[in-house]
Amino acid sequence: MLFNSQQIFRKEIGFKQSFVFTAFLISLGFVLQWFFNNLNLNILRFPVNLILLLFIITILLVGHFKYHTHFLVVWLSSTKAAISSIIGFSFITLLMGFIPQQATHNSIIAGFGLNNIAFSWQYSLTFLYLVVALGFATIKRIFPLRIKNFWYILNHLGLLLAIVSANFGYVDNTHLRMKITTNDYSNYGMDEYGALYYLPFELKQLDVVDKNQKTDSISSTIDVRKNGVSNPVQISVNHPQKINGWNIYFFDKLKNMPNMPNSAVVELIREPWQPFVTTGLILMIVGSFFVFWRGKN
Amino acid sequence: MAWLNYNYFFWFSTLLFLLAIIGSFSAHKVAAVLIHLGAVLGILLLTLFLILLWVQIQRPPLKTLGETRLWYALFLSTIGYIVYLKWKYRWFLIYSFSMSFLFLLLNFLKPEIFNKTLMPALQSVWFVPHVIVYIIAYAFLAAAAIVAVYGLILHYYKNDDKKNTLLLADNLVYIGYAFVTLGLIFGALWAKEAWGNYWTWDPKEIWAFITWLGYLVYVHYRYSYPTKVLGPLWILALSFVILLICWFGINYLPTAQNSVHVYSGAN
Repeated sequence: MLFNSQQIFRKEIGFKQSFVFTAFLISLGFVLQWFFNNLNLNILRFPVNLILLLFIITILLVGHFKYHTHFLVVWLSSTKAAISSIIGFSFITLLMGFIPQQATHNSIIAGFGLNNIAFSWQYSLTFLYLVVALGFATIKRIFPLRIKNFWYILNHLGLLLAIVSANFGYVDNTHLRMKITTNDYSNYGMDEYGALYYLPFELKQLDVVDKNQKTDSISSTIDVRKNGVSNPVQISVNHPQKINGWNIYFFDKLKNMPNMPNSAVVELIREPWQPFVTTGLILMIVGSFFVFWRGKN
Repeated sequence: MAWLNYNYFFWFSTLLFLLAIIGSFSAHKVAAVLIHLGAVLGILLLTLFLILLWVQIQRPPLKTLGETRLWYALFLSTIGYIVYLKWKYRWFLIYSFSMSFLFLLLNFLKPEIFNKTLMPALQSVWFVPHVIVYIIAYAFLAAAAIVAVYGLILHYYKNDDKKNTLLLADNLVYIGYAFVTLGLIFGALWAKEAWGNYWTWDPKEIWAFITWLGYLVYVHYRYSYPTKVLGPLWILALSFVILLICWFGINYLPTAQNSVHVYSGAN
């Protein structure tokens, strides 16, 4: 039996029920995926993602302060919800670990979104469950604030901040490829769908590669021109440059054709939510030192 | 190159580790001396070899499977010795030194010598911390897995659920888990610097993340049910299987064919 009479009387959700809920959530995700296909994440672009996030935070805060004895809040703040949501999310990740995440002709795999899980309904629903459980657990330790919960808060808040900003902020990220040459300045890039973006600065390649030289090098010197002012910088693998909120990455140097200008491809990336992800990760780094130092106690 | 001298190092380290293992079986005073002598000298010799190797190949010896095995052997024996110093668990010393011995033996039989320069993306300040932190984590979690297997044997064959076994596992897991978290984050920060993305669900990332989640379940389960023994033991054993898939099992999975993390000589 899923519930015994005592649990129904007390409206208590136990371990078993938490797992049934997780299984239900994942199954629901599969059904939605089958009928509606991938979520259209574009509708979540700023400010919709921020509004949704504020809505979730409000629910968490109201739940914690007004209804903290309600059985649903008690359950969602408990380790039962924590463990079942972690295991649910592990299951989804495990599928990703076994099924290649690439285009496929298999209609079953494609139909259930198994080749593109990170954008599927089942991923989103389990992720949401994880976020709500993690959110309640974190808020419970922040209000009231106690010194002994310091490391707990660092780890949980850090993880929450990192995964929420990385996932909710994903749709606001722009990744562009830009071809630059030694001939002239260029000020536009193309995203993965072929859409053109114009930038507030222009780039030109400066280093000329001799035609006898090997072109599989890993860096490029480029000139960044903004409002007529030139600023030569070097970009290489592992050493991007930040200009006007854009990170410029070295991508590839193209083969030097005879009588043609030298050219290279750079990648331009703008991720407005990045500072929040980084903050979350830093909190987790500090938190893990505490875990290491203090152990279980 | 240093690998050529490997035979000598192997015989000496192995001999010393063997001395420590033999010493662990006896309660005699001389046996205790053997343990300390074998452990300390064996560990020092292995450390010296790693330093020499690093200098000689002019890059951190952290890329090939053979190289990571050396670090693993070093950290596992070091952890075994520290745990022995702190809690006097002889069985633990025997297991961890035997594991070290096994890894050294594997390198002796199949050295996987590669002396290639690192590919551009690996030439980063994050490379050494990321890999070192992971190897330490793996060593601690292997130690925890040994404890789990020991606990499971006690449960199924002797009908004995010792709470102390899990307390030792807790200590090892908490340290290992802290290092796994650091390794995961360092990897993400590095990926951001090299490719512009923190996370791309690369097969190695996926399996590293599942490993992290496995131990996360253990920590939360222990917190909720501190008196249960069998469940946590199985979670630990299973998490270590996932860790092994993550470490080298993914080399054989269809999902990982293009991963930058697959150990190979093809730089």
